Amino acid sequence: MAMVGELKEESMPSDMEAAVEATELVKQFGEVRALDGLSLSIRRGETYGLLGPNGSGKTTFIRLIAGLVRPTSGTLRVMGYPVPAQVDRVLPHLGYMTQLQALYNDLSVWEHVQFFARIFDLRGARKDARVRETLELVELLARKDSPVSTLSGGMKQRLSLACTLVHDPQLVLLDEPTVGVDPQLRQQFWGYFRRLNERGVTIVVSSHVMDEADRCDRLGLIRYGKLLAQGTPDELREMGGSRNLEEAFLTLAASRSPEEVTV
Amino acid sequence: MSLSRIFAITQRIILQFRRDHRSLALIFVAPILVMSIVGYVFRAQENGVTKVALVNEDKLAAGQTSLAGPLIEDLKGNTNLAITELSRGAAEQAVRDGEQQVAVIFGSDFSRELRAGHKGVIQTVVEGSNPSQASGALTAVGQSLAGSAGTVMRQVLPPALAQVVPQSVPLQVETTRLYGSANLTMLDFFAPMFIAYIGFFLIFLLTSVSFLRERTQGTMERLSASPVTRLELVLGYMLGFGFFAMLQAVVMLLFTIYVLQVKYSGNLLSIFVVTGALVLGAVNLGILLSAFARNELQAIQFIPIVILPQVLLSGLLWPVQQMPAWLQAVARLMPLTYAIDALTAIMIRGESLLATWLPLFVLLGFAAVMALLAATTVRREVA
Repeated sequence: MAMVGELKEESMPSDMEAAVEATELVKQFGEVRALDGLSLSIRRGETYGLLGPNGSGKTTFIRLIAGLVRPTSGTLRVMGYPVPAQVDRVLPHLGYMTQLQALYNDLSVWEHVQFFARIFDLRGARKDARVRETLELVELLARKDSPVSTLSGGMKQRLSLACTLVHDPQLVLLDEPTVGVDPQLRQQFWGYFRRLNERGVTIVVSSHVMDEADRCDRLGLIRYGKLLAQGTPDELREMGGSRNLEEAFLTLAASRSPEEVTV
Repeated sequence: MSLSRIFAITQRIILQFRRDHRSLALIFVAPILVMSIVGYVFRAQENGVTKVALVNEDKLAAGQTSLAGPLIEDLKGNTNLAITELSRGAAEQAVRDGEQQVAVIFGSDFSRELRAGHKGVIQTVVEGSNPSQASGALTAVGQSLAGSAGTVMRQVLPPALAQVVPQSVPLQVETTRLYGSANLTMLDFFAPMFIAYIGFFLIFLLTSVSFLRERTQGTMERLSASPVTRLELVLGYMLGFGFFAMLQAVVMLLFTIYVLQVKYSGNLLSIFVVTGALVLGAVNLGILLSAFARNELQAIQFIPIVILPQVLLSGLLWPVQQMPAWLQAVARLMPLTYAIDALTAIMIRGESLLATWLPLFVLLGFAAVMALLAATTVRREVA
């Protein structure tokens, strides 16, 4: 907890600095080039949507931000710190929700969120308060004593989100958080994200659902490990020459073939 | 390193177990079950009665007493033997079927041959596919026959000479035991070994599968994106599973000592310390090896490599000192060898923990080295 305070007050680089600053990021997995010179900048406090088909490099980019993989080349700064070199300074303020519903089935809902609170160094009354607040946010407080194994799919997804948010992260990475989630729950999720955003939290969310993309402040279209286009949803519609974001996206993807982009 | 994060992981493991009834049963019920079976089998061997099929075809000339008679009476009087009188055919069949362990046959000319000064032949038949059982049965019968030989001799010999023949064959073995006592049984001897094997095996199995699950279910990815370090994770696991391993050791020791009534001479706490040092190593070895498995089956596949050689070489079947030199060297690489060294020293020879410092030190060293190796395999880069 001491570290959290310290980072927030003094050593956190100026607010002007981008939350994520990627320059010419390359990540090679054997034969596969998952990222191929990706450069993009995510501002503090915005909701940034990473759009792109499966295998376009979205997940790899998110894992790079979390310091889980090492870039083959290029530089990456997260909240002002070079990553992965100083990822230890970033991790206490980072919330990462994986694509997989990674939960411990033998714990109760409360125990589960509490575990994540504790490994993020929350203790005592503050820990309990945060666990309660977070469970309230995702509307699971009533089920706090239920074993995780008895929850429905949607509840598990909400629990997974609670574990991501319990330590009050400044930067939240959500890897396709609404995959396999019904429209109502998706609506709910975006409600939670909006509330976080209002508190100044930066959200990076990957998706291939276009109606979600419309709710982001800015979007980055990623394909073949490169940034194809970037802008607000309206700007992208304009670029793609369509009022429908999905059509715009397809037009943009088609008009900028990988060869063209490489130039 | 943050103690509170380590304890968070430890507490999580303990909480998880509370609802995982299968694993709880594996830790606490399985050892009792195995120890009960071991105890029962060994005790049955100790109080073992050899089943004997007796065939008496001895034909007597008129007015003569049977010389087989006293031998048979003596066999029947022996409490270690259960005698059933059968015909030759039935006896052989019973031995073949395993209903009787040995058939003792007095041929039709037994008395006649003996009186004529020839050898009196007693035929014995055993099944023989299990050499140790066969020799055990023959020994039991042989001892009994040797005991009554004198009586028979006296009946055959002229009375004058008969006085010289001793009451029984003057064969007596005097054994000196350096440790233990005459009532130190097989079970007392093997109990420490089984405690070590069961503890090591079950805890290794459980840890490697649990840690593997952390990887496959994706929670490792989440933990990697948190302030938890690799060593903290391994230590948290070590304490969590160590906690259950210790409880298991207590349950197993109390059961063997108070229910199975295994005799031990050393300090109970010393036995516990050695067992604890061994299972901590098993936890860390489990974490280490789980890094080399992609699924549960692959984790199970380590058992023949990790467990079986230790069972064969660590002293259960043959004393380590009596193995060929190169095998001794291999055995000296295995933690179970040291655990059994220390446990037999304490339980049977009644030595103190101080006297067994070397094997204990090796066990703790093994646990520490495994913890460090395990921490290096828990990679940030999960790929």
